[in-house]
Amino acid sequence: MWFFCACLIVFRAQDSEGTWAALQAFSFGKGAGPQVFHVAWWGLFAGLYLMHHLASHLRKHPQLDRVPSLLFPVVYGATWAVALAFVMVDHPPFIYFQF
Amino acid sequence: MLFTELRFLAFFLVVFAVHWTLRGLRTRKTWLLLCSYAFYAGWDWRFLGLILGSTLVDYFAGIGIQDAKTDSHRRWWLRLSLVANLGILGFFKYYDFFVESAGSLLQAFGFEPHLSTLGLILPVGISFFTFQTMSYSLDIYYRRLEPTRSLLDVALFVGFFPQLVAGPIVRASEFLPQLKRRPVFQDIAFRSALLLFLLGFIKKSCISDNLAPMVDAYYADPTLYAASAAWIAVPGYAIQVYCDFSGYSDMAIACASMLGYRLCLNFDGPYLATSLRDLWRRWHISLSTWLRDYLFIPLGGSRGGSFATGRNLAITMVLGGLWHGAAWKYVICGGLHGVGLVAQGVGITASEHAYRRRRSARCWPPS
Repeated sequence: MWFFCACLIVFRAQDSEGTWAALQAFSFGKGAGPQVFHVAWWGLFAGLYLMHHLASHLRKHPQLDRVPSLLFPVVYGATWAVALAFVMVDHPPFIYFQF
Repeated sequence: MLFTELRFLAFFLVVFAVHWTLRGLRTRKTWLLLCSYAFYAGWDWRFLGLILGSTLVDYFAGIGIQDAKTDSHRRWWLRLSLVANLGILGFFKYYDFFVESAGSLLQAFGFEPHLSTLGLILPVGISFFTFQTMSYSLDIYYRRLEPTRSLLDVALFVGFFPQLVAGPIVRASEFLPQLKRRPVFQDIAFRSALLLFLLGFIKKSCISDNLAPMVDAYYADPTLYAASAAWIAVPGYAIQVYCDFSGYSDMAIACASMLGYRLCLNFDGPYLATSLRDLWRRWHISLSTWLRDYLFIPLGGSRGGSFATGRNLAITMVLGGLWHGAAWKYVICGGLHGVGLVAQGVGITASEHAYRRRRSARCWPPS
């Protein structure tokens, strides 16, 4: 995973200086600047990893198909409502295929 | 028009309703093709000609390869398809990159070149549909597929809107047989498709887009941040890029499924991989299998010893990196993955040899 992340630094960084700075900071803990991000991000990442794990298993065992017909649209609609609340409207969406 | 936009929802509802109302197979396919071209025109109508051109070239090349009397004629038709598709891709995506790189190289040797770039707009999805059409001609050339005589089928295979701009890169051998039969409404697993669409939307809009501001801020100038920020931003980008691309693929697969067509899985829990090799089996599967089948294996694959295998793997990964974008950083990134995969292959071979040695030392007679 470290190697994959290091490759992604090369992939994402805008110039060689930025690449080098991010690689040093990520690999050897040598960060030059004072700015930090909130540690709560780590909690979010842990939750996302758990979801990644669960989603991967749910696909192979589709118990969700057994949800009663009346309940499904209610749960589905409610999930959409929650999801739409998290959609960012003031930031241009990132698009992978823009490369 | 992105899958996450409201206007796509309106577009898809119309496509869906009319598609299932139409009775004839040919009418349905014509409807889907017109909708696909309208979808693409929504991005930029000027590039519709590229899709039409690529479709026509590969339609005639496929028939030409099949009907050719000699091997040299077969090769000629294949070359026509490859030159046309790689020519389109090279011109629109890589022309400026190669010109700038050549200019920098000449300057390094003390020359003063006057090379001008064209500043072309990159047609959306060009990397995906050119690879898709090339696979059609290559499969016919390698006798894995019979060419279809229906131009409508080839055009829909190339232009089918769910996978047109961001994949998955569909194989003709998987998609064309689906166009021979009429999809039945009752056979569609709508619940799974709806769930997949929702899951894709959550990944793309709720996770990926929300991570973008933090990641963008870090990568704008990493020198301003402490090391702890890198430990958040770097994995953050890994999550962002995965959720964006796999979310979009999930939505594409779900849309196709609701129309009665099956697209291949593009991601299979990549961050649960146990090694780099395993990760590439789970990440952007349609591209990695394309590169394996149409580049790595024709280069010789793993047939000619460790050195040849490593070389073929490195070439494949470097070109795979270049596919992602016209910049040296993508080439370097692909090269690093190639080195990683070769190193892992060497490590596995060495550990297998060591295991056999230990086993033969314990067993009698030695194997």
